[in-house]
Amino acid sequence: MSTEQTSGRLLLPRAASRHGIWFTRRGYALYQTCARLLRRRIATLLTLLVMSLSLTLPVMLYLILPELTRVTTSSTRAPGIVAYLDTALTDLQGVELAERLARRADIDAVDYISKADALDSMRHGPDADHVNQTLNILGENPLPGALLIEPAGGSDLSGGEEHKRLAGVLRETRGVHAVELDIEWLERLTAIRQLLKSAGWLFFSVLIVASLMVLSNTVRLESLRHTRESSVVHMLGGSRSFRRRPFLYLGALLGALSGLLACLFAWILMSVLGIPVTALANSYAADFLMPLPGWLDVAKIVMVLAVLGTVTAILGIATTTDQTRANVLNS
Amino acid sequence: MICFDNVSKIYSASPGAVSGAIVSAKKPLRRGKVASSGKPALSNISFSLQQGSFNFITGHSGAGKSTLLRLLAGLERPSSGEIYFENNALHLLKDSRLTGIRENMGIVFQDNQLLYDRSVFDNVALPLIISRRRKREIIDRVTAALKRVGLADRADAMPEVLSGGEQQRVGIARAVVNRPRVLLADEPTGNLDPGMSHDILRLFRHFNAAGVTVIIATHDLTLLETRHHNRLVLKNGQLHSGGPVPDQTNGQRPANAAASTTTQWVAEPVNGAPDYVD
Repeated sequence: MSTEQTSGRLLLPRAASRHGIWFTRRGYALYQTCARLLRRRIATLLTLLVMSLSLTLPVMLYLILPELTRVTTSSTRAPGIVAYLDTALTDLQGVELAERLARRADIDAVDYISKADALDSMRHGPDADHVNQTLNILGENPLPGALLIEPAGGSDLSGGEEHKRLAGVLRETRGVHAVELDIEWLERLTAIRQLLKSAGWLFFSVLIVASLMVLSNTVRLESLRHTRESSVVHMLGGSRSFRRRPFLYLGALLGALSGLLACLFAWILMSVLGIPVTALANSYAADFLMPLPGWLDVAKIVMVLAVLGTVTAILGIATTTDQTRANVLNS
Repeated sequence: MICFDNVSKIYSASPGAVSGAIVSAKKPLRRGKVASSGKPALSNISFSLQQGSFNFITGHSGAGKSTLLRLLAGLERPSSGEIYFENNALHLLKDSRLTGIRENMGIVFQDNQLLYDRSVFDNVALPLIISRRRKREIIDRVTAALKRVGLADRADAMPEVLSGGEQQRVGIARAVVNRPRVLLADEPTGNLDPGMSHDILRLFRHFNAAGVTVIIATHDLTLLETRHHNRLVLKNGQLHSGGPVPDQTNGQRPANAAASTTTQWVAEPVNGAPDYVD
């Protein structure tokens, strides 16, 4: 085999082509990463299962919380004030009082319910028989007229104190016998919603961090397992980024794959739970429908976890570079 | 081409050295390599090597041969002194620049340092991938390098199925595939029988004949008996060969290199004959 000498360099003869291997640097790193994952199938599968199962609950929370917020917000009727009028007030006086109150700036709307309407409503209510018996004994309509008042601000609970102040004003109004502020249940509901949201985010954060720590440790162990390879690459002129690239890809791949699996698990669980949860919500007159992860949701989750996986991998192998260097010095 | 100017290397018990020792707990640190008492691994080494020369670095175990090669490869920094490779001051360059310089050097190790989880072809291709070669060029060069060392038919084999001599030849193919200007070899025949050793040496001669500067660290004196070469002898970290040859750097030492007040040595030619060409 002949050789040529040009400028002190060895010129190797050209040879026939060889079957294709994707040999760009990044493609090579990705190929090596995939090969490592496939070479250790069981370990890879277990790691992915641990991560994806940990991520399933956060993924479910991510999908459910917006729907839960929508349902609780939309189904919430505005906190109303019911003013029961003196029984001596006639319907005309009741309507006049309603019109006068409706002109107030802190009131959006006022509905007058006459004594007759109230009685009629009761006669057709769920306990109609008992009501009719009682009314027959009394002989006359004992019900007062009532005003259903919708304070300004609708369901915005930030104005809760103003609603209470308005209720106080109504109590002092001539012709009003009693006032009932319908706001406490709404405050309780909002507190429960906030609690669910906070707990959700807490679980979300803890489980995400736990998954990322598993990923970080996996990448770190993989990095330590390949310290010799990193040393050889270093000695052959490989830069730090070249040596780190397969491990960063490993982090990104593990993150993305575990996100994909977590979406699959979430889809299965939410499909199973969807029917009973919807039935429960319907019993409370809420139109809750269990949201299943769509393609856009899956893409978002996978991308975010791939990025988080890369960042976590960077942190995981931050200290192994020194060990590579030490290995070089001792090789 | 290569110039060492009053180079010393002293290993201290720094945190890095300690962590290195922990990582390589199975491999005891070599004598003369770590000297917590401050004993130098190399002391005031000065020499220059010409381009295209064939050189042996010899000496007893722990004399500093491997340290000298690592300094030359830019894998370590000298404690003092200056090292030049083709007008590049290795002792001053940042790590990022050193990795680029290292692409011009082929390194052969005693234990070949092959990656056993990939094929012979992939092992040899590694330096080309590192130096951003195109796919076609990689295929051509690797195929040619494997032919040159007589392993063209083992390209798809895994290293573990090869004999010791074949593995070492794969290591040599990997070292030369990037067309280096310098070929560094640290005890390349240390694990081989005499027959294989001379086969390996013949390969080095082939590459040297093509203009590659070859530097082999070895304590196998049988390799030195029949070949024409230059020789540097190290003893206890000091250059101990031939005798002082003042100011005979033959213009290879860069002009910007600081003039040393110490005695200059050049690699001592043995037999003075032209390099062997097969």
